[in-house]
Amino acid sequence: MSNMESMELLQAKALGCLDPEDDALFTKLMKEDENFPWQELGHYQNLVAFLPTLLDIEVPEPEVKDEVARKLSEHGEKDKAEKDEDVNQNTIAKESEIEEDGFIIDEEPVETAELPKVGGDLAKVDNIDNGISIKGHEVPLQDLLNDEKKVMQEPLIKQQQGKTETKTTPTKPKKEFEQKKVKSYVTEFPAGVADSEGSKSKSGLIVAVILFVVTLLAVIFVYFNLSSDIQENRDKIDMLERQIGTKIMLENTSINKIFIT
Amino acid sequence: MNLDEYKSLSDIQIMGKVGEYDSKALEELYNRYSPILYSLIKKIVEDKTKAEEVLADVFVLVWKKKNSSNISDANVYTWLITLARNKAVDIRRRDDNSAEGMPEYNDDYEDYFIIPRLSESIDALDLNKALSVKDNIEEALNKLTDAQKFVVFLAYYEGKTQSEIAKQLNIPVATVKSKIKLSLSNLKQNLVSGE
Repeated sequence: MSNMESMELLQAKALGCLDPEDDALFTKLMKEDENFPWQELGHYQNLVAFLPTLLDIEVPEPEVKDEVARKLSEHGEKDKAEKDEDVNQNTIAKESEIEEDGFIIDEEPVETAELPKVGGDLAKVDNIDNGISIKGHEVPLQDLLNDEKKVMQEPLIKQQQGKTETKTTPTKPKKEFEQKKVKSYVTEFPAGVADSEGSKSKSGLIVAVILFVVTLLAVIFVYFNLSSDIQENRDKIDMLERQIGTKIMLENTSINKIFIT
Repeated sequence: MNLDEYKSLSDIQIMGKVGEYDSKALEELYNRYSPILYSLIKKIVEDKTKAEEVLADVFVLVWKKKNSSNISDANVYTWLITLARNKAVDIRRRDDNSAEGMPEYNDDYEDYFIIPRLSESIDALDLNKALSVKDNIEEALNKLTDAQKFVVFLAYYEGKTQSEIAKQLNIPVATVKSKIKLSLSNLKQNLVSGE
């Protein structure tokens, strides 16, 4: 039955003249009818699309192309503005999520007694805290966890002193924790690295000075070597000039003799 | 790739590149299709300036909907023609005083009424192929009766629905429905027999 209904409406759908209620029915049939005559519909859609080929074809003014470019540019800017707005909204949403997280941290105490056990398995654990890779860094992560313990405990203490104090700044513990995490990375984890980097820079300076001195010596050696060669060559040139001068004098004498004779 | 190289690409390839945010591909698509789309739009809206505006809007829609699931990869020609026709008819109907009760134009409306939904198993068709059968179409159309041609004209170019055609011609809607069904069936038959 539905297939017959589809067939009744096919041509009018392809021609784009269905009344709204028939159009709604047709759309429903398209979605639900397993035997929907897709091929027939395709034939009629192509057939109707042939009709404009019979029109007198006119080329639009060149300005229309510029208008398209202008509208696309406007659309791009609008799109960008919408995306920026989405990003802002997401940021706000994330901040509110963080605030909620902060609340949870405040309300749920951390089992600090279990923390030392974690240290032994650290090298095996990945992404323990929102994407921080901890593979192979047992000591710094332990420091991190210790810091986390401290920070997580702070709001609890405050909560005991007065609940309003912690609830008015729910994001603070999280932020402090983040800051401490960063600090611990900066101060504790890279401490040894910073020392070794200092010694590396000193040895680098020494190497650079040595290289400079060696280069300077090489330049001086080359200069003197070349200048002695130049002097030697000049002497040779002088000697050759003298020899040539003598020969020319002798030859001129003989030529003069020919003209004379 | 310069603009000349795009000329050698098929409609489907061009559309694929438009889908990859290639503005040169859109320009090539415009160069190819703007004359026929403009002629169709102008026939419907009956105003040069308005037709130019609608044409520009159509290409913005192509860019906007380039990655939409409704966009036809297989049949760029029919998709573009139907899109331009839908858009032009919408403008005509909104300009018409009798269309006061039209729904608000928003994204949902656009997706449902303007963006074409082609058959899942439509045959491939491009501009060159469509223009190559122009004479056959003309011959097939001329074989229809005047009444059949007229209802097709009212529906396609004036954007009237079946009940609006019935009202205009002062005939029952059922008669219009059967005329439209018969007109297109005959057109298809004539085209097949003429080939």
